[in-house]
Amino acid sequence: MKQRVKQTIKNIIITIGILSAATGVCLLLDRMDDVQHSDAYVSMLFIFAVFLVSRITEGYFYGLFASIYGVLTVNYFFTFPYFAFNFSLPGYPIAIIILVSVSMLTSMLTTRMKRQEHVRAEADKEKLRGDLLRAISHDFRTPLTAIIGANDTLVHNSSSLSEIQKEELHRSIEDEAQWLRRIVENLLMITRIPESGETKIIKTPEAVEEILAAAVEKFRARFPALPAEVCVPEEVLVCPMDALLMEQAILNLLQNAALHAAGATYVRVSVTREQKFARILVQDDGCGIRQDLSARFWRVREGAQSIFRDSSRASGIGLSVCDAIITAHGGTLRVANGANGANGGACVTILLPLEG
Amino acid sequence: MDYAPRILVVEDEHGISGFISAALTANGYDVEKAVNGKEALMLIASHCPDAVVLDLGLPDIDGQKIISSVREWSSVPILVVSARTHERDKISAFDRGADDYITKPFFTGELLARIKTALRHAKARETSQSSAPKPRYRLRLLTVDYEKHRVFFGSDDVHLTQMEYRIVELLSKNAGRVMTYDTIMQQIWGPAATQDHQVLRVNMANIRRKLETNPASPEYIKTEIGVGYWMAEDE
Repeated sequence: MKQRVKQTIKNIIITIGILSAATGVCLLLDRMDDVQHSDAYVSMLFIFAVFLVSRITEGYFYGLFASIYGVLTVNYFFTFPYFAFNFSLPGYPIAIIILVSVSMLTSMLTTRMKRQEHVRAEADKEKLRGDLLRAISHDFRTPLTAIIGANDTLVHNSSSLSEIQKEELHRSIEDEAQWLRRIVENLLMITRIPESGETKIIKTPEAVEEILAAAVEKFRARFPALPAEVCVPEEVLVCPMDALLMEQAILNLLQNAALHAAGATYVRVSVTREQKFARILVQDDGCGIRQDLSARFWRVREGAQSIFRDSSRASGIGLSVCDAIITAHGGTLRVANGANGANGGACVTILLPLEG
Repeated sequence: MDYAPRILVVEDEHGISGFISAALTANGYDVEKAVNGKEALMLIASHCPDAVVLDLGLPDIDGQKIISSVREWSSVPILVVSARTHERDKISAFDRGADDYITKPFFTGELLARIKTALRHAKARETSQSSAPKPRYRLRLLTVDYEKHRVFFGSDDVHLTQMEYRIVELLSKNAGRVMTYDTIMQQIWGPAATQDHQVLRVNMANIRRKLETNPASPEYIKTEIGVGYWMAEDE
């Protein structure tokens, strides 16, 4: 409601502003051009003013109002007899009709254009949500099948299973459950990212090193097999951010290295200052990221699909969420294959605006 | 252990309270269960458990309120186990007097370790009330000498500013326990401290550069993101 009142006030101010400017310019030109009273530019100026009003404001009303105002003003001020209405001049009704219809057509066309843009944006948003949900439900089915199946086997065939087989089944339940945990963590994070530009994420100045430290510590607990290094500069880099979101973004990148970078022997996070940005690098020496995909491929809007060469079911949710988080912070994320390892290794670069 | 410590598990989901109890019993604890807040408050008052494992989302009373009301008359260790991951829930629990906060899902090993720590703290609190306070904190290379107001790293005397020393002293005296940003601000800068935690972050970054080998991989002072800091337990 408040938004609506605000919008109406804004529209009224825009309309009055543009019309006053047009009237003012006409009056000024008229004064300068005292002899000839050529009024060709007057109609032109008002058509332009009406066009501007229709383009900038919402709905038909303001454009219509502007065109009627234009016709009356031109008649009153700028055509003989001056400072009086006269609709009986020969040919004048035609001029009026043309002015009104041109104004109204412009107004209607621009309004329709705006509506279509709006509809398209809505459809895009719906599609995005649908794609994400489809990707998620598909991804949930696989680990659930494995968990239910493994547990069922353990319950019903316990006597005929060897200890090694049992152990294997228990481990697969554990692995799949951990996978679900990662997905759920990310879904939870998505709820912290506002959908439209109206509300913003709540940012507080945070030391980047603390976020990296927390993400690396979590990663080490979950994936003790892959050594994680972290390197920060002597200077304390402070960026405005939602700390939990940023921690998740870094954690996702680390987990990607552990889960998808076949052959990786380490993963390294480092941060340096680059002018007004903190430049965070997450590198590994694994198999790298598929070359045939552009860096932006995995954005949710283009459908969540796997980008890692060896992954059987990487939905790309981790990277998509990471990208959404970085974008929401006004930063950028770039994925490339570095110069490490047999296949180059993956290298993700994040630029995050520093405080101030 | 002389006797089996008694743990009260407050959880309304049977699946979860079931496996927690199973793990605790298997590790030599005496387990009692409560499925709602009223029952929990009653059992804490009548059976005096050695520690409470508390879920926040209970059907009758919010877990946060239970922490507050228990803290009015008891210092029994409370370990929150919750699916709520938002920092404001953690801050609220710690500020009300919870000893630990574990987010679901968790490993039973993690829960057992944290219960052990909480029990040890409670015991240490009991003994320190009757005897003189500990003269120092020591862990690996780090020593905080409360009498001399000095911090040593190995044999080196670490030069901390007064504020930095007070932060280290506060955290080390509460080692193993998360101190929220607000609590630290109030303890160090007094009740007039601003809501802005920036000054604390900068001090912490400087402390870490003096005490930690790698400030981004801290051994001594850890960050609980969005909540506060805690120091690793001493030897």
